[in-house]
Amino acid sequence: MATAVLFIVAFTLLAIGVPVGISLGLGMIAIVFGFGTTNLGFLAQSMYSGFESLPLTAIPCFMLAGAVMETGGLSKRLVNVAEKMVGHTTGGLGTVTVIACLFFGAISGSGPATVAAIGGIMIPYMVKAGYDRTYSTGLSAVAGGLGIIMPPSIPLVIYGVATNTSIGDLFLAGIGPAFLVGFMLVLVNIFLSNKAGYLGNGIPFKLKEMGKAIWDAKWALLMPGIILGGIYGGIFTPTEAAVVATAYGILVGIYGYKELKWNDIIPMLIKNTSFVGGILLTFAPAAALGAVLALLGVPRALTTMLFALSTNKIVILLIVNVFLVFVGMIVDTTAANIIFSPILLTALRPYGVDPVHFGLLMTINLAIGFVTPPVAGNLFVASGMTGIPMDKIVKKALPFIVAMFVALLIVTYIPATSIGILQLLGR
Amino acid sequence: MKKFFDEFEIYIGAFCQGLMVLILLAQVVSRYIFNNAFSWSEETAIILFILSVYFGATAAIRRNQHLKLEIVLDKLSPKNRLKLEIFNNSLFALFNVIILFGIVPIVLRLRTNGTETAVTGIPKWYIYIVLPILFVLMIIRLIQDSGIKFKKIKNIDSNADSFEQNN
Amino acid sequence: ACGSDSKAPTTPTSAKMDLTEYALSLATPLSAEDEAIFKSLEEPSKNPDKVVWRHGNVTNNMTDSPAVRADRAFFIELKKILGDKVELQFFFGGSLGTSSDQILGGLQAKNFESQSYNVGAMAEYTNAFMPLDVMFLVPDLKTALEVVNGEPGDIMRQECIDDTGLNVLYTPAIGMRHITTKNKAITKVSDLKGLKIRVQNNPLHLLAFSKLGSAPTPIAYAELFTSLQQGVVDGQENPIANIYAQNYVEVQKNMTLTNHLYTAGAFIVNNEWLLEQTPEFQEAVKKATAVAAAYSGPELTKTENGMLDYIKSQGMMVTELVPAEYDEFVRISKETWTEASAKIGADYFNKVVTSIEKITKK
Ligand code: NA
Ligand code: NA
Repeated sequence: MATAVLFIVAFTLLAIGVPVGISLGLGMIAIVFGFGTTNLGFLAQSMYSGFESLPLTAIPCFMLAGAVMETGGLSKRLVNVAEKMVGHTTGGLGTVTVIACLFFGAISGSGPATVAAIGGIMIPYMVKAGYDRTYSTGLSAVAGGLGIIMPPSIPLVIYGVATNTSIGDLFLAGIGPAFLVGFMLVLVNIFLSNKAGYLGNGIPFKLKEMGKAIWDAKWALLMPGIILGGIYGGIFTPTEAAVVATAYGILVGIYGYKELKWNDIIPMLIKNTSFVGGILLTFAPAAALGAVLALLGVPRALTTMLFALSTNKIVILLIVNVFLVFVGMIVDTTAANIIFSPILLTALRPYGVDPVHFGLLMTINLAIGFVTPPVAGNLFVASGMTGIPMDKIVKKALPFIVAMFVALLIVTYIPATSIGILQLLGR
Repeated sequence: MKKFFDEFEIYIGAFCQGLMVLILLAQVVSRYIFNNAFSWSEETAIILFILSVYFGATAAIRRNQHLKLEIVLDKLSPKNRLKLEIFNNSLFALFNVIILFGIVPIVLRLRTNGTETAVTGIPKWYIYIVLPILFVLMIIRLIQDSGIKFKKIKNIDSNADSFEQNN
Repeated sequence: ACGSDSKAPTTPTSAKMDLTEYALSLATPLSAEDEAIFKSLEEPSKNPDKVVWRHGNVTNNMTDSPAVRADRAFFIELKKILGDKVELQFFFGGSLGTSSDQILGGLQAKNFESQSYNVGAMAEYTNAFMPLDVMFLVPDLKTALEVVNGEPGDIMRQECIDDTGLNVLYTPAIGMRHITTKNKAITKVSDLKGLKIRVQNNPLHLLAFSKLGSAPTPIAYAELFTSLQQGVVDGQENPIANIYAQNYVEVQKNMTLTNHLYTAGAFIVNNEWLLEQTPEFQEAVKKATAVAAAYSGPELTKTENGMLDYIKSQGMMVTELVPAEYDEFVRISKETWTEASAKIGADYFNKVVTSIEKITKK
């Protein structure tokens, strides 16, 4: 009963446009007064303690790094490399979009930022080359999800904090699934482009041209090497990687590509502060909600329900994935991650599900959630950039969403695609 | 000047965030170049992070940057949208008022008990007190924002009136 | 919020599953009666006068480590005495919070009835247990157990109640801390020179490890394995149970039994809440406390030996310090006692030290 009241209040407020964190907060306040499951002190305490974790400091850093890279001229050089690689093939520019998102994802931790950075360049470019505008927008919105699957990744940081799992391990385990999802998207793109008659750009592939593009993008391409190499080479922790990325991005933007000036930094910092504040105010109430649901016995009920449905790990994981796709439609990425990661992991542990593996399942689900309306961060950005309504974008994006779900199932049932790399490295 | 007072909090928030980045960077550099780890850097970075989130979240009200669902809002007429937004602002403010009743006793308890941060020994209530202050400032920003929206509604009304008169 | 090393990251790869199984084989098995009670601990009670007791823990169960098994002993005993007069609800995996403000502040605000935490992480709220953060104040596990279960323990628990209103009923034993390293075995203080050693983010630990010539580096426990593997740090220090559970033997080749600090858990309730309960209830808590406290030490000692055997069998070089070198460790570490005394409060520190010395000088 209390749980129902909580969700009804929260979802009603969410629907009419009350900020996500405030909706969750008022939902909890409703049961504080209505049922006494928890008290106001607990909620108020979470408004501070919910943020009291070092890895979370990586979030503003990753966002700042993304802004620096967009302004600093890194993204267009990454696009250029991808184009010289595959631009000549059928559906070439679509494939370029996916590969550029993979590249950009290796330096950015955010999905919507990846859509903005790569989609911002690729959508007009594809339209000019004769691609359908809505198709281009849909593909960019879905491919932007690679920004959170490819490490570094803000959702993986949040998952690591919420479930106390090694963020370094999660990052490593993200590489395989990112390439798999990228591969699936490319396949669907080639198939659809073939049908629609989107040919290559007509410029024959030249190794020398590609070499030139790679050389021009060297500072940007070095960045994933520095970030991931730095983490796994023992120079810094995954959390510290975010601040190193920011510093490196600033240096490259200013001295490497000379498209950024020291004077630009403070305005970027100011913009980032309110941006991060607006997003992260969701975090503390969501963390408190996780605890309140625990007090209400939701995880236990969920576990019992899952066990009742099936004791087969394969079936259970399928149910959980489908459940998460629905959650991803209506719950914001950050909130879904904090609330459901610990609950579901607790329920799945008895089946022998690995926490790192589940972190990646969660993240691919969140990437799907980014493009399933009504709550869909990547669609918001894509729709905002092009002015095309979300429902039209989704229609064209549907084959790509399905491709991502298939990739999710592959990662689900072949854990080696994600955590295999950890075993190879002896973790 | 008015603009400064309308969002002075963002400058404080940006300062906290910038300092946080610098401290974390200094931590990496110090450990690897000077083989010397600070004990205070993590704790300080977390405090600066929390402050920057709250100062940023306060500024985000008037910058319309709070994460929310616009699907219903988008379907409304401009006037009704503004009305609903004002209603939503009042719910936001209500949350802040209620949470103040929860956070003030915590601040007082931390002060009475003399609780200090583990490494740097800063009295915790010095940090916690920022929260109730900012919850109040958020309410002020919400009122300001609603005021602007009221004016916009009036403008729409008077435009409609003049439209009727012209016909 | 530092030093809560009981928040173990669990990566149950197949190798780790075997580790858990082996660890469980070292545990004292439950009697059939206790096993039955344990299985039904959380059954809802229909008694209208029941007390609902919500217990939070950052670990995932009450079975896997000697420290959480002390909690298991506590609740089995409590349930045995109180039956349906108490309804127990457990919240694992830190779902009721992990930071000191959430756990200790939450207990003060009576958001829940009890929490398993650790005394090291209580420093923000009270100096009561800080003497245990002073290196080489207790020389070994046997003495440490006498200390926390004897008069010094009573002094510290009372100080904690006076400071915070929180009652640490008992302190589940986690173990003495030892140093492990990757390349170089530590046989004397000078071997530590320049080595990056991961320590808990505790000012007294950091100070002592600096004085010993190393470069102490605080790193989150969840990142420690990877940090050791990648060489972010050269070594670390932890009790045997943690070294075993995290399988550091895969990334560290040497262990020196330094016994430099004692790490204890803390089973905490709000004292005011406890005093509000019926005398019968309070008596039951007292009995369960005595059972858990008596169970904890021997259980750890027994398990630690088995774990150390395993660690050795996996190729870790285990070194004991020769007396002269041990004395050198103690001598240098004692240089931090002045600072420690100033930080903890000289009167209180001296009172605890005097009480501890009654045991160590026996
Ligand atoms: Na990424
Ligand atoms: Na969605």
